[in-house]
Amino acid sequence: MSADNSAKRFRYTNKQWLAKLSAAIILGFLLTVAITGLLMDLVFGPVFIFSVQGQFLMWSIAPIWVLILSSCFIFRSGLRAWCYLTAANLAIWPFVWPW
Amino acid sequence: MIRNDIVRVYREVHSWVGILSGLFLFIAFYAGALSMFEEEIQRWASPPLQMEYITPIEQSQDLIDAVIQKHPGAAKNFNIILNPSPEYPARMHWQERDPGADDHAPAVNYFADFGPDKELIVSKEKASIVGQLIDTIHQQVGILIDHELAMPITGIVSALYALALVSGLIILLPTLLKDLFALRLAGKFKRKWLDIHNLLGVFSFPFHLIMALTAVVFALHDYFYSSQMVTIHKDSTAPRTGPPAVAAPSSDSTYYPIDQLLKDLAVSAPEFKPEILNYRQGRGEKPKHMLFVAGKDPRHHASRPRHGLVNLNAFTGEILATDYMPGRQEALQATVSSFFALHFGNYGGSVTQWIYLVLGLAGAMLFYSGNLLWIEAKRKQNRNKSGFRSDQLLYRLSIGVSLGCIAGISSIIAAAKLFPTHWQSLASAYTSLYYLVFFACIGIALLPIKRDASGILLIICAFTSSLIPLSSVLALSDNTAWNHADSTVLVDILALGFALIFAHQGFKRSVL
Repeated sequence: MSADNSAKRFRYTNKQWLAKLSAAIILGFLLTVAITGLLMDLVFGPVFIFSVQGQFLMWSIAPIWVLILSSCFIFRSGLRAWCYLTAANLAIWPFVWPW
Repeated sequence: MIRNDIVRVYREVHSWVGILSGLFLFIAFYAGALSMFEEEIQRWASPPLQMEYITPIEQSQDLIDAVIQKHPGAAKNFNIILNPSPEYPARMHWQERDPGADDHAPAVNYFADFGPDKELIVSKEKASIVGQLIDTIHQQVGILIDHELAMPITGIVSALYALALVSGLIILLPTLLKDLFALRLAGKFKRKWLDIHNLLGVFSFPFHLIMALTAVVFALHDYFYSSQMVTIHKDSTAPRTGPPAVAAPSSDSTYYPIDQLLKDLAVSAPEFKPEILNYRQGRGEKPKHMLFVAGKDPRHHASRPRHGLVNLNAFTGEILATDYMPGRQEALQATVSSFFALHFGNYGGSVTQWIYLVLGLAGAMLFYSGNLLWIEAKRKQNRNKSGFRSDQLLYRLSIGVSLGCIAGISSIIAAAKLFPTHWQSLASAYTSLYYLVFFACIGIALLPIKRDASGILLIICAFTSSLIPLSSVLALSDNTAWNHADSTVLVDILALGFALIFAHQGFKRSVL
């Protein structure tokens, strides 16, 4: 890699940490619930919320949300974090919302 | 290879989430490690049982009838204790709130037995509350406010803790193999603590990841369930399931005889050792009854902190459900139970108990060393600064909070035997004492003098811890106090060990 190239290369910083983290907390949580809904539809089918399957779905919120919370810092900017997570929510929610 | 700008980003994340959650986590881990021996501490702290007043198991039905006649509120939910012990000092136990108290007020424990002339004796709260208080300090990361208000705080602390773990791993990955086994104890202050911090962090990483994820769920499950309730479970037509309940066959039917029930259970589930029979009753004209038998099976993990459950028909004694019974669960149910079991360390008997004690104390050490590293880094930055120094404030807070928590917990355990009798069952007396010692230590640490307060605080920890075995020695010559001639002597031995370590560390530093 030439010196010229590496100068242009994007460098990650924590300058927009609040925007990134708030996106992961709010939109990341919504996305997590959507993913548990997807898990329910694909694996269990409709289940009672406090059944064993329901308990498992509730438990699965923790690892998924923590994964999103800890990876939000590698969005290139706060705006991108909000955009990508909004897009992911829009992509999944129509399938899991009980219309 | 991870790009070094990403490692840098996560290094900043790690130090900030670490510094925000470290002191809360220290308290949670120290109290949590001790609560691995909650049963022993509880028995150590509770006055011995008056064995002559325990109702024979065959007369349980008479006892139940007599109690419900005088205290109708007990019928909704009561326990029959199979092996009464100082922490459950009677055959029958139930909880009631004082009339007019709101839902969040702590319930009062009632214990009932027949006296020598078959008269009903009901007493309130004989067992010590110290064990429960240590558990509450653990669950609420040392913030002794209303449980509902404290849980979101615990949830946030747990999420920060999970974030600290992931970011810590990312920082360490590039140099993992090179740095891991390098324990440069003789080197510079920072090098030594960094090596200890990394070593503890890497080797107990799976333990910590489990603790962080389960703690997030324990603290926030109400919010998680409600958010799923209004979205993915909205208008759900799935059949409701719950523990099976049965209505009484007739209005005057009695419960299945408990002595017979135990014999049946010994045949159908020989490894399951029943300890408590929990009877519950629904509302309405023909209320449904539930019977949960709580017991232990050391060969399997359990779904509750210290017990597994089997659901029986209260009137026929037949087994209705084994959803929560150790070793008899379906795969998914056993998986969900394992999340609880891995947090509580209730599998594998006393070996696991000791391992969790050590891992828990090592965890407290991990957070303490993390704080010291942050302080050292800031101290270098601030070297030439005059006036307010964030590193000094944080150092004082760190030693004050962590050593204050240790001294506070030791004091409340010792107080179980040292308090005057009429204070011994007063929850507010213990809470006040804990906070008094805790804030006194923080106060000492923050005193505007140049000298390092850690020496004197360690001596306070040593002194309060030594009060525990001392109170047992004093009890030998005091007929209102007690010592149990059993494994609770472990509490005294452990406390003495802690006291010696604190004293040794304290006298190494300049005390005054």
